[in-house]
Amino acid sequence: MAEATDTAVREPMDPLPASKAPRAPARPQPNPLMLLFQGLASLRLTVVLLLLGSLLVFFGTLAQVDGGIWQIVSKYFRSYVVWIPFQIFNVFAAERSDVAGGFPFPGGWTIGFFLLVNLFSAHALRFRFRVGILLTHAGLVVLLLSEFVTGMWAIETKMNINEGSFTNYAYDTREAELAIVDASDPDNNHVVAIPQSLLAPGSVIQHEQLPFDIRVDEFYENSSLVRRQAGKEALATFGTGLTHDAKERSVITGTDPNQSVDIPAAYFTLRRKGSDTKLGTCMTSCQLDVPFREDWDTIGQKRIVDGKPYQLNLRYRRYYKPYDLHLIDFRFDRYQGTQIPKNYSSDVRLVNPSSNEDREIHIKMNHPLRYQGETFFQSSFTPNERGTILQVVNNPGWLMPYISCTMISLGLIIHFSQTLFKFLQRELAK
Amino acid sequence: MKTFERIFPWAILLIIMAYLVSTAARTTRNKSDFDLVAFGNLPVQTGGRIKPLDTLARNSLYAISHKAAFVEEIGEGDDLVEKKQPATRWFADMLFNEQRAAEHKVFRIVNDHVLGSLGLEPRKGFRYAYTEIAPDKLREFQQWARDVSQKEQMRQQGMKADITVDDAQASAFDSKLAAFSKALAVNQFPIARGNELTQGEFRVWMQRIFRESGNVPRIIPTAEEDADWSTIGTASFKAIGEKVKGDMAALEAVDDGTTKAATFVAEAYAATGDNSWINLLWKMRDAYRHGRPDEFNALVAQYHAQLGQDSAASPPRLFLESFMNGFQPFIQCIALTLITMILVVISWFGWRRPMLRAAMCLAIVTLIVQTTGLFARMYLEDRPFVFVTNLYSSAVFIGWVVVMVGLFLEFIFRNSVGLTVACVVSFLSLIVAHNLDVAGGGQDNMQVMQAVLDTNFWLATHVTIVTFGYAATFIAGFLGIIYIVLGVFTPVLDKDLSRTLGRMTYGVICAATMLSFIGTVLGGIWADQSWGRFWGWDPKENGALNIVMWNALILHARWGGMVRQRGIAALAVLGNIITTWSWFGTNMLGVGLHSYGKMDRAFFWMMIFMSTQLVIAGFGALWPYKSWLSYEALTQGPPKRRGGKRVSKLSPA
Repeated sequence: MAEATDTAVREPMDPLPASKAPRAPARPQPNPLMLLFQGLASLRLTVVLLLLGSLLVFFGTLAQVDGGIWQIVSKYFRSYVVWIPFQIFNVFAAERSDVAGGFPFPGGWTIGFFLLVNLFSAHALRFRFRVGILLTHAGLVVLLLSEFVTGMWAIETKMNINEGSFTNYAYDTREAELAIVDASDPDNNHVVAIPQSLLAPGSVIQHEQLPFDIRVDEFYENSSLVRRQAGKEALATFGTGLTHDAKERSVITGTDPNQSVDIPAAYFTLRRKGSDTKLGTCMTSCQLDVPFREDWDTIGQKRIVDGKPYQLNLRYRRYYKPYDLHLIDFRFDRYQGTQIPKNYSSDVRLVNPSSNEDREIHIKMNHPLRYQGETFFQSSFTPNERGTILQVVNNPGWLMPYISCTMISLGLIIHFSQTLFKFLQRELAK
Repeated sequence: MKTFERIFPWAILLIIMAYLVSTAARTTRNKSDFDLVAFGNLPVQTGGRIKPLDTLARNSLYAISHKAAFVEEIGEGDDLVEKKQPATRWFADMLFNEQRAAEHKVFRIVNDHVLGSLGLEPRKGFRYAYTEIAPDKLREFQQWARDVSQKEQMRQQGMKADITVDDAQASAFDSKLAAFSKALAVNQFPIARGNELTQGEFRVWMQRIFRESGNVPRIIPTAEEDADWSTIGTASFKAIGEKVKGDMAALEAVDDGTTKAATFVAEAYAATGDNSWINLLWKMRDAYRHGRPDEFNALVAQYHAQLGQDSAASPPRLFLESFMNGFQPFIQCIALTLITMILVVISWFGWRRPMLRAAMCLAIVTLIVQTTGLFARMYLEDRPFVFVTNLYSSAVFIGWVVVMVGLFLEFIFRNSVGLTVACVVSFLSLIVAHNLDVAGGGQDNMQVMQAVLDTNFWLATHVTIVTFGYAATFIAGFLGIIYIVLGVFTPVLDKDLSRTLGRMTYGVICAATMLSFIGTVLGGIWADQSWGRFWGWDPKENGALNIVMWNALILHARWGGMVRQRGIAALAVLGNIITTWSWFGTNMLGVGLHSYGKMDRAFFWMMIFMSTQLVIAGFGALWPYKSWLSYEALTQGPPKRRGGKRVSKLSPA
């Protein structure tokens, strides 16, 4: 690459002026700061950054053969520096083998940051009013920022609803929480939710609303439930753990985030508040939670403490909404005479008492529902085809790409059609 | 001589037109007593759409024989004649006369070990009949095939499994057997296998049709749109059910021989109405088996007449699709671009004007044929302005865009470069398309789109524009190749030509940047609409992003004065690699580059192509400038026209 550009410059070619290059007009007494500024504003830097960007994207694509897409995204594209193992080039080899070593490379944030700096400096240093270029570059800034906003603040969750039923929360399969539900009040459940970050093995959880302390005996980031063989002693003294064990598994690195999720599981021991008196041990796993069951309303490890029933439930982190979504009907249309999916759609009813809303909405592929800053997409369905799974995305920057691409497309069209028009005018005049 | 010069292009045009018209006429002409062309136009519902039997017949035969026609041996001993027959003939036998179908030599087997295990000898043409394989040999072979498929599964799960070339060939023949049974399964007449219909056999038949019902092409039409059609099996089952009214004792008359099975079934069909689809098919079968072409043809005609009135099938669509199958517009275009290329090459050595004129005419004819073909596909798929629905059609589309852009460049510059680009790149792209089609092994190349892809709006905008961007990047890359090849290996690249080529490349890269950017972003918006993620960093998206970045890189390098004609040429050639990566490479990542078989071959050719591009770009960038054969032409003598000032106006900076 470098050779190509260098030799090209040395060519004794026709006098096509390189005048707009920043280095062309030599200044008599360069100020060092000014030199740096010129460097940051130079088109050479642009070309280098584009080359690095291209390579990074290429490496990040190859790495996806073995790594999970989200892992790669955070390692390669949403990072400052990335260590690129030689192993990724193995896809071109005839036989698979393990290759050691690697090399460091600037990550997505770094390249993006310098592209922005380069762009702003260039426009500051050599400002010329050309609508097309300005629009294109302004749009590019919005686009880079939008990826930053998405990377930092977007939340992707899921929502399951059964036909004839409703849901008022979404869950995030990338994080778990321990919910302790006091269902003694028939009208309202009292829920205490402990985030995953507090669930380290050995730690003790105390909460003013709970008449007991909880000791975390074990916490597995990924696990599977197995029926215990006869004769093996149970760790748990009540609940599902009497018949099943949670078996630890390695964290999933699959390429498809929709199909494989980690299933956290944990063992907890309940103790009388402030003492070591054991009230019992239980096992609870996200395998008993929403994504894996259709009767997800009544689950949990029950224990009666001080005459009140409590349910302990390790579940995917829930985000409760101030409204209910009812599922009227889920449809899975197939192409005539085949099993090839043609369309998935959900007829839902949105009930929001706070705003007196009660309306029906048809959600289908490519036609999501946008509501209160969140977007609901038809994502999947329960195995019996009577429940829908919606992907709920909260991305504060979702509109930015739309604005950006309008700007860039307009900018490119204006700029290049001006170029083309001038050119054609001249050619045809001959 | 002058007159001849003037007439020559028109003469070429006339010959080509005559050829195209006669080919078109030939595809609609029937060559046997039985009207197999009309038979091929009958509809069948399979793969989620309604298509003519002709398509099903060709694809099925192709999967078995690697050809959409076969050689039938008629007569015996000294009277034996070999006759080339269309796929519809084979399929009519499969449907109506299964014994004869099994005798057609259609299985293509080339591997010695596979042949040996089946007890067959290698022969010219490598085509074998089902009846030539002894049953015990077949059982032995199937054991081998099962072992191989086990090994394949192990390999998919990441375990080591030694699959030899012979194993792969065995697996290939096993798929051919599967394709054969799949085609034969359409024939679900209850007395298809032998002429008996005892209660026991009736049960076997019932079990068979229930087992197969899901995947069997459905031939019995319904009147409603988008509804499921019936198979011969289900229609027969209904008819027989009506006749026996749930009382299996009614079959006893068949069992003890009082009623002949065929009569029994015929009565059941007749009871569904004289003109019911199943009854017509039954009568067609009878006429076909007993060699009564007039009756057969009349029945087919009646079937067609009824289709227009009470079925969801559209006879013009069926006719058009069969015609396209026979005419193969994009294959014709391969020939057309090749002839154009020859004319252009001749024009470089002499007789320039008439040759270029003729080439221009041919390029326009190619464009017309391609356009008609593409719009016919749209009409058949019922997707207006959706040019690209799969890899095959993307290659066809690129071939079309290239001819359009090439003609446009030729119109502006009139230096035969545009024409060269048009015919060479289009030729290559159509060859790629043809090979993709062939590699599909008889797959429908107009298959339906899976749920999320089933949106004409995004297919017509995002996919079309992105593919247009691929085409533009390839054109720029090819212009780069012309520049480097002319400069290094010939003395003809003078200042003038160098500047013109540089400009053409630059203009095309501008367009490519714009198209690939807009197309990519539209894809992001589609993704945002369908799952809430504007950008997911998946391989295909990344590939498109790479193209945009590379084109932007070339433009900025030029605006910054870092490269000129020569540098742009080298960079544009590298762009070919990036576009190929985005177009094919990223698709191969999904299935793993290590999977052997079809993709392996595609991967091999992709690497070959990429290497050639690397070598050419290397020559352009690294070959010492003074060793270029065009060095003198490039450095000496004043430019014939135009000063540098004008050129600079082109640069936006």
